[in-house]
Amino acid sequence: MKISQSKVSATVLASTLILLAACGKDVLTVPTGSSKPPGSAPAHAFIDSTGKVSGATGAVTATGVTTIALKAGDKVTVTVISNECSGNPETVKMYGIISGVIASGSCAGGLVGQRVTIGPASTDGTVYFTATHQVFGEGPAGNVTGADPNYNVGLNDGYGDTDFNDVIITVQVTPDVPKLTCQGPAAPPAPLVRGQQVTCTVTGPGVVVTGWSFAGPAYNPDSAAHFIPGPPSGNPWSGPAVASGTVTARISVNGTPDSLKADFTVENRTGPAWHWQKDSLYWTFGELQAGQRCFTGLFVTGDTLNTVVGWNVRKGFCDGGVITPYPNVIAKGYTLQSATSGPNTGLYYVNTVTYRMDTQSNFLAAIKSGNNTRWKSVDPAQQAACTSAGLSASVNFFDFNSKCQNLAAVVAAFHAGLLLHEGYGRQNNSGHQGQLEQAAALPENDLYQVLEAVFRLGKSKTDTAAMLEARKITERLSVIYQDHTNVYDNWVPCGDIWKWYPSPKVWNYNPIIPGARCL
Amino acid sequence: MNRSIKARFDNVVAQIGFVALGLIAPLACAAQVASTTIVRTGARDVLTRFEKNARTGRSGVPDVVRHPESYPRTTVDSVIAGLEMLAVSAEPELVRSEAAVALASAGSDDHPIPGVFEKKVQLYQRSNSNLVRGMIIAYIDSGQERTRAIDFLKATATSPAPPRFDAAPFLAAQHLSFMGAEGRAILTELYASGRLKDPHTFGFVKWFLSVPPQ
Repeated sequence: MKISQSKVSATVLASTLILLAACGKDVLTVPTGSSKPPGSAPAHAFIDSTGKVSGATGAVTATGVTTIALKAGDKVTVTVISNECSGNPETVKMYGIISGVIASGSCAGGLVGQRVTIGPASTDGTVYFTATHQVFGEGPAGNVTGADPNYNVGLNDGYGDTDFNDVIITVQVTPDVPKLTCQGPAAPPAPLVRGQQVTCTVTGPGVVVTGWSFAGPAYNPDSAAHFIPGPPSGNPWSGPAVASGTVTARISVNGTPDSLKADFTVENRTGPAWHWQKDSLYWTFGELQAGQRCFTGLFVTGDTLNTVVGWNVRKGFCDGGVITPYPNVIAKGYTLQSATSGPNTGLYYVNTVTYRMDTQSNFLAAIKSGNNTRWKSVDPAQQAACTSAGLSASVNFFDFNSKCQNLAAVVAAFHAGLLLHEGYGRQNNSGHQGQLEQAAALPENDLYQVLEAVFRLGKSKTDTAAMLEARKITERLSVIYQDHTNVYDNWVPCGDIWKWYPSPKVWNYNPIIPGARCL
Repeated sequence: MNRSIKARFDNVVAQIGFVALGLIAPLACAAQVASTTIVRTGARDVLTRFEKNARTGRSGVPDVVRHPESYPRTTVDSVIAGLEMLAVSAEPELVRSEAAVALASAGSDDHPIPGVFEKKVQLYQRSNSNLVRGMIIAYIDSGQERTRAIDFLKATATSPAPPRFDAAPFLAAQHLSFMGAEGRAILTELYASGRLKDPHTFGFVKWFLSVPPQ
């Protein structure tokens, strides 16, 4: 396409005025008019646009502007958006305070879409661009339109026409502005995990940090937010990351006060140390291992206060507190640590958790084989039943039922039912231990994971918060542990059994557990 | 320069936001000491947030019921009523139990909320959730009217268990056993008086009193 000289001049003037008006002040673009054009157009007789066309090509109005002004620290991102050339390769070069080959490729394919970011500029100055055909050579400096920070540059290669559309590129200038970044040991987007070092750094020319602060929400949304003032100077600001939030850096840029903000997100620690589960590290269940001191009934009719036959208790105790140590003001199953530097200075968090859920079950010694509590019936028939079985007339519960009355299978089923009742149940976790472990496996009852996320300002408050969380889980589990709503029918059908009646000193054959639901 | 203007704009927007939300200004920020900021919002916001957090089991006790003296009476009453409703009818049961914890912990002897103790007891009596009833037992002494709370625990430990909650006497006695010297003294009295009728509770207290204090 041919453009008359007068039209070009008018367009150049108008575009220059627009650019000047748009940029003003300390705008980075300083149109300088045509600089020394590298290379010269050969006098070829055929048109240049013989190759395939890529992108949205079209003639570019000449502006007379060929350079783009940069400040020290600026970076430029160049993208080839179209071409009308025939080069293979066609090469785009950059000259000035940043120089180099920007893109190179076949005009028939591969050139359009190429993008490169180059810089930063080491000093203030200008850059310009050229296109080089492999046969016709390098053309003049490209024709610049647009305004800071986004420009279009139309390039002619060495073929020699003046439509400046052999290659068209966009140039984006990214100034080196003051910036605050906060990141962990791994580059973003790698997560920052609680306890890892977070480093907040202000960068940029002429920047002086005049103060730091941090603000962030509490671990518990119902609790208060945190504000942590930082030092009045120094850069970077770093320390252990405890809580997500926003860091504010008060800065001075060449004497002008300003501020910068940056967020960082702290993720919970994960892995076996922060998640409890059924294994010897966190939970154990010892069947038949609970102490006989917990309940000492003799399983005799009439002793209404001593009718507990089986039990499942906290290991080493006879309560249903479930968690050891029981979370109270004295015993703690965790340690705390504080951040002593950086944005989370003063925040305490849980460093280790040692709570355990160890439980044990057992049933009355009085109904076990070999027990020394023996009774002698006044009923001659009951005495005879035992002596004919080769036993003394004075026998314990186990022998009277299993041997004197030939009910060994019933006694075994009774014992098994007791263990199922206290343990995992006959089906669907219908035992106390099954109910407990089922509840403990729920996320809201994962004591380790819940405590992992606790943090507060100050040791005392953190201690209180951690203790409250631990106790709430303990209380929930304790209720579920004791509840019989889902613990029943672990001996089906519930059988009758011979039980000692102290008065009148006979054995009576009765349902083991009166009522509809058994064990 | 543009950044300065932007920063100032952000500050203005932030300040408007604080006012619009009815927040207490973060005075501590001005003082430049590490601090926490209590957010005082209306009852609806408190309850909405509470219910949302309760689904994770991490609701905490809303400041409005822990420190009622800092809030308008109407806000306190609304939150209490809302917690009561959640404790009775919310799903899942975890939300009901979290609401029960908050309600049981409501008020303090210095700043009681009128009528709240009765609401706690009513919830215990009427709830069909043993988890809710268990949380009332576990937390009733952490709220207001502690003397009445202790009486409630003593009565629960010595009375027949309510329907379908046979663990109630034991849980009450167990809670007393975790209360240090005060709890031990109470259990000693109950045991000696012969008022413990539930075999599980009786056996547990008998064991508890047989071992030295931890």
